[in-house]
Amino acid sequence: MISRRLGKEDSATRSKLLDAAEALMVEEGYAAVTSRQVAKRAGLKNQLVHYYFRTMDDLFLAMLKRIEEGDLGRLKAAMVAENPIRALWAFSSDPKGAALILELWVLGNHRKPFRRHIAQYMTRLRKRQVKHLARFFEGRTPEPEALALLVANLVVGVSRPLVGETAIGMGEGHGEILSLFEAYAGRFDPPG
Amino acid sequence: VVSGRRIGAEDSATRTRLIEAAERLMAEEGYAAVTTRRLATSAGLKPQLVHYYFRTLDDLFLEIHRRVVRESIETIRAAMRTDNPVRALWAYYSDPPAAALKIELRALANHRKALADYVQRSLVTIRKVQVSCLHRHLKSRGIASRAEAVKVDVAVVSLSRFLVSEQILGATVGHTETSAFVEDWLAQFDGSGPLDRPLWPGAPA
Repeated sequence: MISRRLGKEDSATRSKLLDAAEALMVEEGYAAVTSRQVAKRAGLKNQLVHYYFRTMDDLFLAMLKRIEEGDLGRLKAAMVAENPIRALWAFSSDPKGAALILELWVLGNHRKPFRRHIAQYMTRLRKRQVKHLARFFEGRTPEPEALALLVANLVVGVSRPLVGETAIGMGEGHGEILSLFEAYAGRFDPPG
Repeated sequence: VVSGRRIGAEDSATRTRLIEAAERLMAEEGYAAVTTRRLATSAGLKPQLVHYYFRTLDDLFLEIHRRVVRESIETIRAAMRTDNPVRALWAYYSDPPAAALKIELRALANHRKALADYVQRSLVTIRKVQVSCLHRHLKSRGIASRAEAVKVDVAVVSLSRFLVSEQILGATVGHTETSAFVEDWLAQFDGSGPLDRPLWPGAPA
């Protein structure tokens, strides 16, 4: 196989194409993410899509990589907060992120080889969340790592599905669960 | 009775066969796999029959959703009649194939307005059914506040759905710890009579 020259990873055009693909994912679903549609949405020529991405699978992988980099950056910034438990709730309640993750999940159901990549992304992200929380729990509990694993799953696991409900206008019960979360999270607020 | 419609009758066995085939395709291969041709092949029927029963694929998706909601409400009501309804509710939402179909429908609803309205209304209905059943149960166990029933419902539904969605993917960091915690929490509802420990362990009263 002859290796073909591909466009640079830091190119503005490439990132414009990824923006367009993400927007299509969220608004119309993965089935709408074709080279023609992506180019049209970005206001660029069709051929440019394949100049930057050999295949649509490569484009999806690049999208996932960019999402992960963004998430890890946002997470790092969020977790320096005085109360990282509240910060994690806010982090996983980002509405844009939730719609995109849901669409990546169903993309993985449709293209099974892609599923592994999503699982790896989620695993790395959760591990990072656990690491931040474990550092916070250090000295407060005998087993910071075990508590961090549990808290990360409880916080992300309860908040994430709520975002999807909110997105379609369903808020029934959200106030009650939020008050329960506040009661737990409040225990870790700095004094004063 | 369906009258004045030029499409197939709602009670037809063929129509049911198409809906069931579509549900399977959707859960196993994703919503994009549900095309007229694939659906017909998978149901062992002629492609024209798909459009005889459903004008558009959107009509079919809506019908799948209606059926899922009807079945959910029936199953939930039955689950609520068991000895530990909280555990039964957890088990209901933790079934991977059923969860996969629901995740697909939710994703579709993000891009199809007609489906979004229906999903929103049905989620409200299901939450109300669950909360009223849980409220009745918790009252009999000494917890009268409806807000507590709401919290139990949201916590169970959200967390079980989240864990099963990760489990299907194969991303399970911390699931062992979380499952152990959940199992211990669910166990408090076993048996009968007033609950003998705080509903929310470690939360300030």
